[in-house]
Amino acid sequence: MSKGGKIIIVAAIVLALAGAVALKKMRGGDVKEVEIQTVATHVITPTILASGSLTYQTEIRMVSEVMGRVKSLYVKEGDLVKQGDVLLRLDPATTQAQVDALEAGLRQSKLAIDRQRVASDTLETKWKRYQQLRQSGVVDANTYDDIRSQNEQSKVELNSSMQMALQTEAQLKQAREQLAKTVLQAPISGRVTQLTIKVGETAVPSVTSIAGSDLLTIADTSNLYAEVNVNETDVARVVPGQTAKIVPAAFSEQSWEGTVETVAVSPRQIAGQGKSYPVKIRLKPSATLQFHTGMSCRAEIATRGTSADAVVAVPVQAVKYEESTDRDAPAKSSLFVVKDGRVKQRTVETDIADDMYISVQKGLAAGEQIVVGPARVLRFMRDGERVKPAPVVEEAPVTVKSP
Amino acid sequence: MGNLSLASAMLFEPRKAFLEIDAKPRWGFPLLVVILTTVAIALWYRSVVDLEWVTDRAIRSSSFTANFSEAQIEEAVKRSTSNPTLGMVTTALGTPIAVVIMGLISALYLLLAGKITGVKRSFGQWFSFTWWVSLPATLLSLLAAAFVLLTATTAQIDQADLKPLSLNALLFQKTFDQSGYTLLSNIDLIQMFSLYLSVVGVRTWSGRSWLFSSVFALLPYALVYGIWAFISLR
Repeated sequence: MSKGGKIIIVAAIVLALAGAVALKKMRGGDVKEVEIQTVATHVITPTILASGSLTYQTEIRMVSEVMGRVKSLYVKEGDLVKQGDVLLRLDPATTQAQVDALEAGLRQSKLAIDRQRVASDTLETKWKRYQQLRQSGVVDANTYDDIRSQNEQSKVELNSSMQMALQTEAQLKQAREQLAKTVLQAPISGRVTQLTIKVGETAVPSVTSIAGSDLLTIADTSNLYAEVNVNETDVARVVPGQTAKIVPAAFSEQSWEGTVETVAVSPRQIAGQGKSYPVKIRLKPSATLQFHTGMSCRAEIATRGTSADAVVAVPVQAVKYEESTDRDAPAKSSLFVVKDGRVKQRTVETDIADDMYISVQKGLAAGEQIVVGPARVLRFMRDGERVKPAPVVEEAPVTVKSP
Repeated sequence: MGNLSLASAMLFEPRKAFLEIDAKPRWGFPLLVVILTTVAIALWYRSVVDLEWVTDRAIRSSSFTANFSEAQIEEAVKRSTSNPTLGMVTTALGTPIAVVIMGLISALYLLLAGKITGVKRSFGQWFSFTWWVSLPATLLSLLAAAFVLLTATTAQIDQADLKPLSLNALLFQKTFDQSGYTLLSNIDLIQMFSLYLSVVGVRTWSGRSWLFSSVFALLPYALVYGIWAFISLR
């Protein structure tokens, strides 16, 4: 091949490569598509997240104090009851028989007392007469001592029978109380939230939860609560009166408004987690949300009032953190400001944050444009890179309230 | 014919070059050039590229890490990029080994295929054949990589970007997360030129038809790329 031919081939190869690289650049291969947002001011409401469950203010778990088969049940789950209403009856036959037997025993004891009292009175009279006869010397000393002894013995026996009667009376009282316990009455006004026993089943007195020990649960449904566990590192910032948003597990799009009512003094240790303090949040009634006691929920407790001034804030995902070489110094925060199609990494000073926005104290002004996503692109974004807006760009309003 | 003249002939007059290799098989020069060029491209790429970014992409695209959480991926990236010097050394040592193994496999295939089809040549001849065929493509790859790395405005350069003449770069423009991206990025005009040289070489040495020479030289590639295409595009 001639020298000219070789030069043409080499030139063609170089041109092909250069053309291919230029083609890629013309297609914008180096320009990253990003989500851009205009910096605005926001009201930041710092919140603490905690999880727990929905509950009523008062919930009473009723257990039987006597053993017996359930004879009648007057309520069903969900029924409203008033204090003193009869809820169920246990079969009283055994307890009633005990009462009857003791009543009979008591009557018999009383008859025995009467009989002994008569005998004692007779011996008393006889002893007094023998006392006069002894003084006159008509009766010898032996006979007189026998009579005196019989008289005193009869008094002891009378006293013994009287004590026996008292004992039987006490047993009878106890048996009657047992009988009364076969009828269960509502201790508070409220709603039957759980009914675990059925007619025909045997109620068993027990402090531990075994079959037949739990009868039913009555709850005071006038006040609804969420009991959430706040981590020990956050609990110092929670005080009664703070507002909270409660999101039940089954209705993640809806929420209750609530107010912190109590913060527990002693912690609760949850297995596999750190210590946490139970916090009770009173819920405002909602016409649309259905309350299910025991349902898991998430609480966002606002630790600062929403009346604070609007401040320059950016979406939390827009801020990049780099660990400082000085272990005691805080992490360096920065974000990417967009200008003339390129990004400029700018160090900023951040302050409080809520679940969506973080306030920027220094280094950024409202109206500037910053990169807020996508997260994967943002993670590897470098200073000076070329960017263009992704097809869907949402511009934030000038001032909005964060939820 | 000297080594440089032979290398030049391989590019401009391949038939003449193959006759020379057939008569005087030698592989030291092309083997050295191919290894040095491949290592140079790999090290240059590693020194320029945003290592975290490219490792993140590699981990995400791997089927072994399909169930990894974001935190696990981040941890894996950190671990993989914690010692860049070790990575450079591994590349410098691992690349020549990989290149030589590929050359040995290729020469072995050609030897076996030649025995079956009656194209009788020694292992040394086929070994020489392999490296001389690879030489122009490797040098052109270096040129292509140089174009890309020198003109890049970002350090986030995918390995596939080092092949500006690939089917994906020229025609398909599939993105990283689309199926067929890796396959189409690996088939490029430089590699096709290398395959063309193999066909010419077999034809020169066997004196048989273009069809025979094409089947002889391209069969392993057709199998590998066929299976790859079946898996990635199904």
